Amino acid sequence: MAGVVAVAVATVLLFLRIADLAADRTRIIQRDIGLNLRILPAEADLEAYWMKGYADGVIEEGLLQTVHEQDVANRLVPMLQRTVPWGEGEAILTGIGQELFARGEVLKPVFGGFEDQDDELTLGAIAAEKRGLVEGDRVSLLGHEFGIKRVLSRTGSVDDIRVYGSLVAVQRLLGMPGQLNEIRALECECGEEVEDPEAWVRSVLEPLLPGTQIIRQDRLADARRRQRILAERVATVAAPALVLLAALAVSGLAFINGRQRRAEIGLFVAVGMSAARIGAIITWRAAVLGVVGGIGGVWIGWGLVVMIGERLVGSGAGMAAGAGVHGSEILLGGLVGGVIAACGAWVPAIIAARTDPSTTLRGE
Amino acid sequence: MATAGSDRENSGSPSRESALLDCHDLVRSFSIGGVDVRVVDGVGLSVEPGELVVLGGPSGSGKTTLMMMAGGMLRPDSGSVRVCGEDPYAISADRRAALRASVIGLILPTFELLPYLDAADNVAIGYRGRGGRGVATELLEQIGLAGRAGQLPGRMSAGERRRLLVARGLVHRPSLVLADEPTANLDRESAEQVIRRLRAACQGGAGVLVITHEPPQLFGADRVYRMEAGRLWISE
Repeated sequence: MAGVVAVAVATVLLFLRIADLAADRTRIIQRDIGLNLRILPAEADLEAYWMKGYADGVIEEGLLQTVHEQDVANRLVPMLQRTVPWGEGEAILTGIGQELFARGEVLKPVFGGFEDQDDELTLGAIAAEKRGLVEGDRVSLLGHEFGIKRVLSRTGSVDDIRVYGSLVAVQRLLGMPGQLNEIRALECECGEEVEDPEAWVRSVLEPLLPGTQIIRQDRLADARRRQRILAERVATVAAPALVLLAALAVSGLAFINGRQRRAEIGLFVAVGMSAARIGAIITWRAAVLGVVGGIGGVWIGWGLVVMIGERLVGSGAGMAAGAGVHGSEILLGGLVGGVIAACGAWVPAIIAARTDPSTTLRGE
Repeated sequence: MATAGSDRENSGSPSRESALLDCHDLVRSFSIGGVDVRVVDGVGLSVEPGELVVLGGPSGSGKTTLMMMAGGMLRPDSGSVRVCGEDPYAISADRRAALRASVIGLILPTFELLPYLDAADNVAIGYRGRGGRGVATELLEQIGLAGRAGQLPGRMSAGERRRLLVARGLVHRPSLVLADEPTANLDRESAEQVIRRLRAACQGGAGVLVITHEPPQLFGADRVYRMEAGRLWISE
């Protein structure tokens, strides 16, 4: 009994965790394919933008707050990028500010980890390889000393020659306080019913952002958006269905287990126990097994996420699984496992307890 | 018995206020292979305080069914049962269970023991009140199972398990003991220990009804009944 509860809970947990990780991964994939919108300086030459990987010109940082107040995008990422000399070559110095989320929500950042790097840099793979740098090394850039916090893996894009730091640190290095050259507006909140999200967002933002231009990288992002909405819809149906199936399996097993114990129940009746007491004994035992199985299932599910999550969803799954088992999951797993097992066992126990014990003892 | 001129059929005896068990005209049928078979057919018997009554007869003659009806375990199709003056089938299932717990000691024919409880706890589930395990351990010693209190039933012999069933039926000092083959699987010495316990219960004022294939005189029976094909005969 406890084993089946554990398997059911583990399956549910595995599905929910994987779905959660997949959603995270989808967000990162969207970022990597160009995302939704980029707000650039009006004077930026788009040909140069695509060739160099960043826009010339500047926009005032104050506009970030203006965009934020419109709640048109789930995430806003302020950036400042310039090519700078570094040793015998050049690198694209990229400052990334703290992500702002719509409606005051707190989401997992897709560009996380840079905002607190005042004295540290993160290097693209080629930028590090070319200079023989690894994590923990100290380097000098534009006359300032930095530690290397992290070296990113290869992406096959211009990002491989970037040097990342916090927006504040890069503004200071470049002598450009309060200035940006790009705001990325991710996951525009235009609703499924909006046929042309780009036009809709433009109509909202353009009047508010003088001196800027808004571009959208390509249509692939829109396809991804629709795909994500579809996946979320499927998940909202599949998750409760899976939970329901697991609950049915556990309660069905508890019911069968209760029926199989009719002889035992008959014995209890024969020695004079009341139906209520018998029901309590059988139900309590099932509940304990359910709790044990539920909690065990949470751990098993977590183990499965660690083992196969990364393979299924890709990088990032291991990190998420590494966050460990949540206390709320243990509590919920135990509670739900116990309640479902108890409910399943109670019915046959009461029926058997109210049947003539002679009949029950014969196993009829 | 039908073939013996010294026996007469018994469908009921005059009710006595003192009878611990008083059955009249009990009938019970079972559907076997789609055919209704009357397993107990108009049977009556009584057991008085301090009396040991033996019920014999071939297998399948309806002895166990009669005992189950007498013990409030199986509702008869017709007829009446009174245990200590109360009709167990006229009261709720819970009150019937309470009646069994307080006045009836059932010794079942098959090894209905809980495999996850040790010997003392298997006996003690028949006891109501505190200190059941202590009482059970003491009783186990009296029927030759001293030192076996902590043993699980699965590790005990058939004879030892039989004695556990006897101890469980007696642990709460019932007024009426219904024992179905209490000496089956027992060697002579163990059987004598069990019979001594049943006789001791009688001497304490309990009425005992024993189903057995052993000679009735082995139990020192006060009265002997015999069942054949669902009908009861009293040996004169």
